[in-house]
Amino acid sequence: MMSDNDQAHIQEHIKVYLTVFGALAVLTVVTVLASYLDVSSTEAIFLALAIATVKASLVAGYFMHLITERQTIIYILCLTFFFFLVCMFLPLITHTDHTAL
Amino acid sequence: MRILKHNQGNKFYYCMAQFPIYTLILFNFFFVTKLRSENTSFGKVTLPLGKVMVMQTAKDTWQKARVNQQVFKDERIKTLAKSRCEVKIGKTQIIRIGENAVIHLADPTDGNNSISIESGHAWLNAKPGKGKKVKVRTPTAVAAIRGTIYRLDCTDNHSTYNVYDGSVEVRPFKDDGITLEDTSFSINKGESFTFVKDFEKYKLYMGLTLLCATIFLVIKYFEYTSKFHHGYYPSSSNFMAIYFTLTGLHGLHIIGGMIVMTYFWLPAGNKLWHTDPEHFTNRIEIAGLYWHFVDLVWIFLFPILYLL
Repeated sequence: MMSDNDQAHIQEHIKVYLTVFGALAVLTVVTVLASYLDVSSTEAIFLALAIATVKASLVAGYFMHLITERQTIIYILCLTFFFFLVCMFLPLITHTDHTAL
Repeated sequence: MRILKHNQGNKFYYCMAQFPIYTLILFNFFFVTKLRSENTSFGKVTLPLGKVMVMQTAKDTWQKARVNQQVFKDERIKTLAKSRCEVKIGKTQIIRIGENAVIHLADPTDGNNSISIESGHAWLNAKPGKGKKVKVRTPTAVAAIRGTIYRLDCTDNHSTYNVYDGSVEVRPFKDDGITLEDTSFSINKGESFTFVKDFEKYKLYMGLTLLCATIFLVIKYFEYTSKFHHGYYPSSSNFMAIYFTLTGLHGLHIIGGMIVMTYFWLPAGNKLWHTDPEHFTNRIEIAGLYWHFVDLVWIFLFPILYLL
């Protein structure tokens, strides 16, 4: 349940959502255009992921209301992200294990 | 002392002499009260600040409200910009009307006083007493004041309730705007609830969402058949294995979301709106969160799989 939301507030929310939608559409075009740039694949990956991260932050922050959420929830999400990184680097650990053997 | 006595005597004589006139005035007073009681006083306008207007019964023009002006059934009270006023009903019930509001003191149909708030916001305070409860009607819902304090904002198609004390039972209107829903929902102390009568718009947007999801799946269908046609299968290469796993799982999430949203879109699922709108809007909110999560995944999948 949302709190303190009269009609003016609802209109404001809709305006914010439309702005975010516009930003996402523009960034999608930017991503596609960036893929035509003549850069190395490492740079391309970083560029694409950077734009994707910005877009994801917009979606999570505004569409999923994370920006107005309690700090605790944001900390828990950071923890999730940390474990995601751990999962990603887990194969790397096994890799070094193998080379040690 | 003598002077005083003299004066008293004089006064008494004076009173006696005026007796017929007093009787006449007294009679007149009763007569007027009799007339007024046929159109019982609803309450009085206390504390009109700024431009507060009253439209009396059988008149088409707005007149400036006076302090402690009695208001009657079927009269309207209007506040203009930067204006406000209070209407006191009985001894305990107070309605504070904010700026740019139009209030109609409606005729009772069931013995209870009824107020229609056509637009604007009002603050309502009623202590529990012997007095009858006052029904507060907005274009979208009806609530009663009885031992509660709450603030109400409304326009043609929405009503927002902020409850400070007690709990408010709100009964929304059906889509026709005349008959009330069978069940009411209660808003408790400290809670706020907005009731929006834009169900048709909800159905339109939800339908558009489902349409977009279908278009996405159709595109994926052509993509997959084209891949198969060219002899690309999950077993073809590492990339193809990852590509089919990620897009396939994403497709399954979309199908799952579509099943849930179709259910909420169809009458079977959205009948909850008519019985418990708060519950229903919460469901839509959660379905929306899920849908955005699926979107979030695609934001990463799209550049990784299609552009790099």
